[in-house]
Amino acid sequence: MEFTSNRRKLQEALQLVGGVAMLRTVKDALQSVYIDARPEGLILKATDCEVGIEVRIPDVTVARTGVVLLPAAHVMGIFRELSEPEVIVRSDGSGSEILSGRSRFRVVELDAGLFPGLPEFPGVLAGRVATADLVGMIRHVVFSSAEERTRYAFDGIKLEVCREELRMVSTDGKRLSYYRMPHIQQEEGMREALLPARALGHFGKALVGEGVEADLAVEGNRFGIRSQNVVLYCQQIEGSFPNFLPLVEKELPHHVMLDAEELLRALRRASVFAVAEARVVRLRLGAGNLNVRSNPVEQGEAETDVAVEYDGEPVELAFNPDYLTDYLKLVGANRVRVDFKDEQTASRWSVATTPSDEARKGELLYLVMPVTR
Amino acid sequence: MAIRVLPREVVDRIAAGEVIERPASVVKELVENALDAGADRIELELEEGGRALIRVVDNGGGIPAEELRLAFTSHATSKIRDAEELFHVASLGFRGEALASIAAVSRARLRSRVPGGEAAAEVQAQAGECGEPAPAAGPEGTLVEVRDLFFNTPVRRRFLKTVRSEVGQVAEWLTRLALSRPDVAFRLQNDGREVLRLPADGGLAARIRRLFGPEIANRMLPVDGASGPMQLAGFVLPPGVDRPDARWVYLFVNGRFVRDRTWLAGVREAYRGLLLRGRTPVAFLELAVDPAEVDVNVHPTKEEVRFREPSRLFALTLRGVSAALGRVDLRPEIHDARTAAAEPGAPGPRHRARRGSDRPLRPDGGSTPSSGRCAEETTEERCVREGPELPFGGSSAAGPARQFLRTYLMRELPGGLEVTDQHALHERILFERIRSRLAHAPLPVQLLLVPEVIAVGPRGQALLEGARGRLESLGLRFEPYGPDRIAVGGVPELLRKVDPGRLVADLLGFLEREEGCGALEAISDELVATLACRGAIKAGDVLTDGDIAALLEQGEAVARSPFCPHGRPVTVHVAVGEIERWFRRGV
Ligand SMILES: Nc1ncnc2c1ncn2[C@@H]1O[C@H](COP(=O)(O)OP(=O)(O)O)[C@@H](O)[C@H]1O
Ligand SMILES: [Mg+2]
Repeated sequence: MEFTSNRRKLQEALQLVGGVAMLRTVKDALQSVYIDARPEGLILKATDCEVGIEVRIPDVTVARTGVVLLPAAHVMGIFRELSEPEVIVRSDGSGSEILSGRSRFRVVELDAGLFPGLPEFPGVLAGRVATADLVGMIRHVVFSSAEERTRYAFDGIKLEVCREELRMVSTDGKRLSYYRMPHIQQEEGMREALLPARALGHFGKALVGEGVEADLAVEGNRFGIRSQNVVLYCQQIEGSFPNFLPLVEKELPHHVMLDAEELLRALRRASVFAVAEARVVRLRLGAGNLNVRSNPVEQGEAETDVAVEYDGEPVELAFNPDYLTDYLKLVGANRVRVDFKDEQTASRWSVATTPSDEARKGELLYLVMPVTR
Repeated sequence: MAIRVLPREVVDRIAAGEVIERPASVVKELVENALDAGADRIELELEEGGRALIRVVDNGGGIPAEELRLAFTSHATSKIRDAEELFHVASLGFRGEALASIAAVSRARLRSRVPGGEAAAEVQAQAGECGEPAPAAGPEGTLVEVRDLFFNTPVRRRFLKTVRSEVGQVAEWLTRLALSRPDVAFRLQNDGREVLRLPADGGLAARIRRLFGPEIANRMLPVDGASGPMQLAGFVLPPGVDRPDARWVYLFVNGRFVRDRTWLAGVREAYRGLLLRGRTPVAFLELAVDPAEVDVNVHPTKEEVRFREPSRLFALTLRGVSAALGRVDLRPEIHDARTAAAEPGAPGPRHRARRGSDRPLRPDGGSTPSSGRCAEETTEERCVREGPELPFGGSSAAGPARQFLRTYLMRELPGGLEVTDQHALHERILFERIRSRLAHAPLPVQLLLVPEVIAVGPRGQALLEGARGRLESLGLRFEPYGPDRIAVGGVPELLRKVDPGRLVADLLGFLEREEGCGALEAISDELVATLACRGAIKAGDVLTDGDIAALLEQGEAVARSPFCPHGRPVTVHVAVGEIERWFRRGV
């Protein structure tokens, strides 16, 4: 096997494929990348049995077809050291040479027969979405999930294809992201899946700039995404996910409109004194004004006023500032509408819709539970 | 009604009432007997908190078969012979009344075998009637079994409290006895569950550590002094480790736990101005004095004594405790860097020798009721070889710190090298902050979107309910959910990332231990320690340079004990001299 490729393209593909190895910390030294050089191009694959990824690189010059299985960590380490535009990979059956500019590396090959292969792409198509939308959607939900599960599978992301909509929900029990993408191309029937958040986050990266549309497929406990040059698989995770819809749809009597960036700045100032044992900021709402202050602690306190649209009764809500800044960072320069009831119930955050962007596609609703005493 | 002399059994029952009030008083008398008999291992078993059964087994000198019946007889004792000896009592018992009193109000069995004796013998007694001794099988030493306490005095029986509270009282008495004799091993079980296990310890300090945990043991200040025939020794705790009642002032005269107003007043006086009103210090004081100086025959329970010179004791205590409090600079000692630089060969400022040699090893955490186990540490317990001393170098001159093994922070200080356990340090910082915060406000609660329903069992539910106030101030919100579950609606903000199920399990663990021994109550601190441990960065967490600097800086700001709340050291210093010794330089 021998081929010549653009070094940067191959490196990016290796990072995506090899990244599967990093999703789980155990056994990462054993993770390997499978490279199949065919006349029409390269196919790179890796799997950790629960998550699999396949990336095609069409424009490479294949001098000799064949397959190799290489240790992922080593190969990625080598590529990090390379800077020339081109790279040649050549295998002689026992080892592979990686040549670039004046450097030459030799990597011991693994027995390609040991590569477990990727599962079949799930046969049941659930829907088709614009890849860019999918990428954005994943980015908007992944951050709300938890690293560990509790009684609920909070390390998962719930995905639904229903009524021509693609929906994703994630939560860590204290805040929740609910993203709805309307007008997708839905296949027969409603589909849902519970996916590992870490894997989905990785998939989001793999899909950046990748083709125009992506297919979503669910079959049994398998889930897959396929776009032009990338195929992604994972197994669904087991566990229950609380019924979040009543929370998302709940009537909330009050609301305030504010500028996301201004609030973000105010929160950052207040967070200076949000110490570890009480990471709390207080938002005191009055007519036209929001006072953002740290919980007073020994070390000091900070406060900032932000102009807002509000004409209700004065009220004070307290939050972990991180839960708000996570959201506001995603929202960017936008006006945000916050619906709330009182200091004990979840508030709902969303980008305020203006008539001009009625046609805007997806929508993120973000729920945050407050902190009390 | 004419005046009449009461029948003997009525007299016995009245007398019994003075000594035997509840299971704890039986335990106290029986354990005192075992100690008088020279036992060094004493096992106690209760059923239903002592209502159904109290069994005390010792390995002491035993009672010959022919004297067994005498033991149950009123005013029969082997410990004094005449009134003169009453003024030199060296044993805990001397009234010869305890066993008789116990037998008057229960069904009792006494089995004993003297060391080297052929076989054991036993007698049974019930409501004061004693049977004939019979041969029996049994090891050397004595077993006393007391069943159905107060079965014939129903009013008394009705006054008994819940099992939990009776066990608590027993544990409190056992604590006192165990403090008076650190060399003796004790074990207490109730309904088959171990409540307390104390292997023989090397000294009072070690015993205190085992009973009260490192939070107390690490902060003790040694007391000693003498005045005339009196010798005072023991430990006191600095202000800040104070309690709402005087139960935590443990006073012993010649190995006997006593309550004494004058003595207590001496202790309090030493703390004048250092404690808030209504607070009492924690102290463990032993007085060694010629038995002729104190009259122990004042009260049937022998808890009150009369000193011949109470004012001497007051003055001695005031002086000794004040010295202990005043002598200790509570802030870290700063060593002058120039001294070390000027004498490179000198064995740098090494660990100062500790007072007393009985600074104990860390006890085997698992079996000790009040020693917390750090949840972060899953491997076998490490031993603290020597209490690290306070920092010996000024940190202003410290070099940059580096992380080592993703667990330790190392930096150069004038005079040596400082190695800090990142988890222990953060835990200590959080512990202090949470505690100082709790003093004026409850911890903030992060509410949950959906309550987490956790199975805790009916008993767990009751325990949590019983501790609701304390748990709420720590930031836990919960409601009962069915008979054996709870719904957690909010968690301490600090622990927002911790699985509520695990948190509740941890808290329950403490509450269960506490239930077993109501007396041993460093529990609030233990709860805080759990929060701190759960909230702290872990060994293995990668820290940025900024994190490291911030952590060490915060560490200096908190009043630092050299131990983490679980008793592991936070920081260890290696002096230049020590390092030079490794390389055989400059010696
Ligand atoms: N555990 C024991 N081991 C050996 N002797 C005991 C034990 N318990 C009681 N005795 C004997 O029984 C006597 C009576 O005990 P008690 O009624 O408690 O009176 P006292 O302890 O005041 O002498 C003691 O003096 C002692 O000789
Ligand atoms: Mg006695």
